[in-house]
Amino acid sequence: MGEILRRALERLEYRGYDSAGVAVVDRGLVVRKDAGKVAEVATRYGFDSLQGVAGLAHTRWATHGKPDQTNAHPHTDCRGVIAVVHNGIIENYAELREELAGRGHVFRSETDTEVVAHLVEEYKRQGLDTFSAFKKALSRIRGAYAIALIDAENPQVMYFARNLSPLIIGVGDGFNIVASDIPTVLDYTRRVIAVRDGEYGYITPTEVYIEADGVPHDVASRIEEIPWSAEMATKGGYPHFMLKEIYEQPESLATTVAGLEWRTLETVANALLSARNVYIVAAGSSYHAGLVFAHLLPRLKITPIPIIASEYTTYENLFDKDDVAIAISQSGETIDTIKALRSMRERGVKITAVTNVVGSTLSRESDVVIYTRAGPEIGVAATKTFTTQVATLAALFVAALKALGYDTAQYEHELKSLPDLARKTVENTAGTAKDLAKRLKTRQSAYYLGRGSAVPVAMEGALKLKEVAYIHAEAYPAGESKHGPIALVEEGFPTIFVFSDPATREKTLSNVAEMKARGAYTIGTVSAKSDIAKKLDLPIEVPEAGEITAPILHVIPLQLLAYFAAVERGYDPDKPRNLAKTVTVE
Amino acid sequence: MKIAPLVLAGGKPGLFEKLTGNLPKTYLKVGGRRLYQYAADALTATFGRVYVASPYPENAPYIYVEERGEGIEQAILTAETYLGAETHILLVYGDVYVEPAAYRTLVETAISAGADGAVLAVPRKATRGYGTLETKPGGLLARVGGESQWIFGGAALLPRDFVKTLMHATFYEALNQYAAVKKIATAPWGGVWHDVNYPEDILPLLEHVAPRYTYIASGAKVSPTAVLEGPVVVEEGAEIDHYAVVKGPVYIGRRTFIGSHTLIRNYTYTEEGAVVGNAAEISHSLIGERATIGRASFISYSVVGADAVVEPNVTTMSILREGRERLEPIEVRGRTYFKLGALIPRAARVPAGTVLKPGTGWQ
Repeated sequence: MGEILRRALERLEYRGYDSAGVAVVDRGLVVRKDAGKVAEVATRYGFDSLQGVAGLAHTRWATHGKPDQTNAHPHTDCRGVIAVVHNGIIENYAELREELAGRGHVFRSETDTEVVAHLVEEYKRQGLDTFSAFKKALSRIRGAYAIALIDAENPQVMYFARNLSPLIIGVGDGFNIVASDIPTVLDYTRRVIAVRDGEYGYITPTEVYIEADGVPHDVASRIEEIPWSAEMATKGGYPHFMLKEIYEQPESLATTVAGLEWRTLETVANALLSARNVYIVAAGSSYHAGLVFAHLLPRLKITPIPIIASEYTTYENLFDKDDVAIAISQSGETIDTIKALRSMRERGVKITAVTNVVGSTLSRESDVVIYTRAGPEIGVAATKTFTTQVATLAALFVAALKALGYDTAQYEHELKSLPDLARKTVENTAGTAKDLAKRLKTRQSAYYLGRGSAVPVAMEGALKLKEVAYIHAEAYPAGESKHGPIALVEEGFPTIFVFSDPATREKTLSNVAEMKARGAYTIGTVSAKSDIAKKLDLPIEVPEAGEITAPILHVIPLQLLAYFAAVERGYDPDKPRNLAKTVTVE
Repeated sequence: MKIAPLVLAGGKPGLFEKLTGNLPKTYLKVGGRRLYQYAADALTATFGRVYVASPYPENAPYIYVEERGEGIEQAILTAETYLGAETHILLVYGDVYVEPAAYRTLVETAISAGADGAVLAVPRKATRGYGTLETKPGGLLARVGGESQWIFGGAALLPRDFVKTLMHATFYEALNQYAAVKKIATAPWGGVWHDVNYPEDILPLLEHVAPRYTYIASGAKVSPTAVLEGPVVVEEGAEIDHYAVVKGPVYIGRRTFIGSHTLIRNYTYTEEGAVVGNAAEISHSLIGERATIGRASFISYSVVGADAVVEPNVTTMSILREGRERLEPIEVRGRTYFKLGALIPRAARVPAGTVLKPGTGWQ
């Protein structure tokens, strides 16, 4: 049993990898869990040697509570009889937790998941059988979830429920499996049932029972035969994680915007406004996100000091106790950023972390943490984590404007409409990006140019092309390109202009003319409503957007371009050579 | 869900009449297989069987469904009546070449999204003539139509009851009606996808389906002085004469004859029974079944139909690559080509010594 659970977890690791755990029923409930990658935790706790008739396993990506042993799944009730694992978010967990605590339940973790175990325990205590108690618990929770639950007092049964989070059942001969995706069960069975939203039920070794709204559903007719093996299976249906992560940006942006904690943003904004120096410290794509933010700060009469993390020593003498720093790292483990942050802390700088990983080193060592809610990113090249960072920092800018007494209604509306505009952008630019990728695939080099806040967008676009397609790309402020880089331009040299900053459009256009005159092939991301398109050899039309969200929309076609160029050149965009997702060496 | 893979191999030949006569364009032979067989074979490898809807059933290892009426709607409706206990149809256009992983992508996307079906979404800038796919939250299909640059990629996983909608609606209308009430996921595909719409689309196809390994059939005769540089496939009964140089990827079909001193360059396909005369040179071209290439002819970026006779010393001019020479590209149907030779129809005869200008015969 333990080995089956461990192998399934390894297949699911792409859904999260900050902690892992298992629970088996074997004359009682045995739970083993901790923070760390699946392989580490499994070896440390001897998953493979666990025996039992039923088992649960989970690999976590923290949303509520940092990744540690207590917060790792499975979670149990007070008596340690019921174990539950959960993917998704239970929105009303705080009130349920309060209610249950009032009835004497003792909570161990900070997670939203644990309330499910206690709810079931509570209703069992009131005299219901486990399934009725499970159903009653489901009627109390709101949010997105895929849940599996076992009860040591009812050892041959596993209960499950789905609402908005994926869940499937693998139908075996003398066994059944509940899992988040198909490849997980393919080692054991090819027969699969997709559970639909609002459905719940239970499995036993020989039975699958599903119902919705109290009405049992026919199961036999819904069994699907998957004719391929786990090795052949794709990544949740996508050929590459990078494409999946670009394609799901509307969703990750929606989650990020909806999850913004305005009170925290306000606190940070006030600190920024009263600081002596404001540092923005980060590396790679996170640095580019920081630069987009840095371009907004002069509007608040703040002079930002952007610092490439590995270069922090240059600025060390400036660090002082009246200063504020924004440290940005997707993983929260980037060693360069952490080193810079420690140096700042020692000198009394107040640190705000912007990170995607709850409980990461960066979040632990900062005074305030702002989380982006992009979900786990597997592709090495940052895509959805970059856009969610820019969106989060744009919200921080809005909070600062608000603190200064400006009317920010228009900006808030801009943020709200961002997910839909991002969807339009992914839809309306993919074909052009693919065409351009075919053209670029034989090229050695390209320029990415822009002015104002479009410069960091150009830098991010160039970085993507280098990272996954291995084409040399250089980003420059368009005006500065006259001072040297233009010497390289010859017939057909690809030059990509980013027109995300409306204030600099006219001046950038004169750079287009300069490049064109020297034979460059001019490409540009332009707003769909503008007439700039006519002046470019290849315009990439992006939906019209406000100034704080335009950088996000304009980077999307550049991400697509890099992805398609990598595929055209026959490289695996998910695993670029020489690169690691999280850089933990100096 | 039990899946019935179905390849739509019918349809009017249109511009392919020059190559396939009355037969649908999917009946064109490339590398010893008809175009639709690439999809049918890939689906057989995955699902163990495949239905092929076509007005011209053949003796191949598929379940043929004889197509009646016109249009893909009628083809699907007819095919549905042949199905057994299957609950879903995995529909694939026979004139689209796509890597087999795309079929698995469709099924897994549908199941992961908890959707009733899925459509393959392919990025494309020139969307005219295609169904564009607009999505709604969760990557679900909102509607077909609009400005999206993701087009319907000619492959869809659909529940069987979808077919009923086709009785009174076109395929895209039916998808719209269905997406309004059921969940259809979009499965974005960034890998190889090639639609053979017009004859000139054959040339890129030669690169996609080129041999990746070397195989010489036991009954093929390769003379000891011939040079074969892999990957080259030489089929049963083929003969490669003295001093021929074959630089792969190349496909030499059954019972073809490659004359002495020929230079057979990459992406050349000689189909069953073709003859290439002494000292001829061929690259990036499809030589149809039983066609003859006369001695010392030069054939490049061209398609030669079955039974055509290219007499000695014929030259097809293609054009130099962009950037090396400032030459005007050739325009065919609004698309520009920097390399394009000639289309020589089936059973045509090209007189000795003819020089064919770039882009001859495609319109």
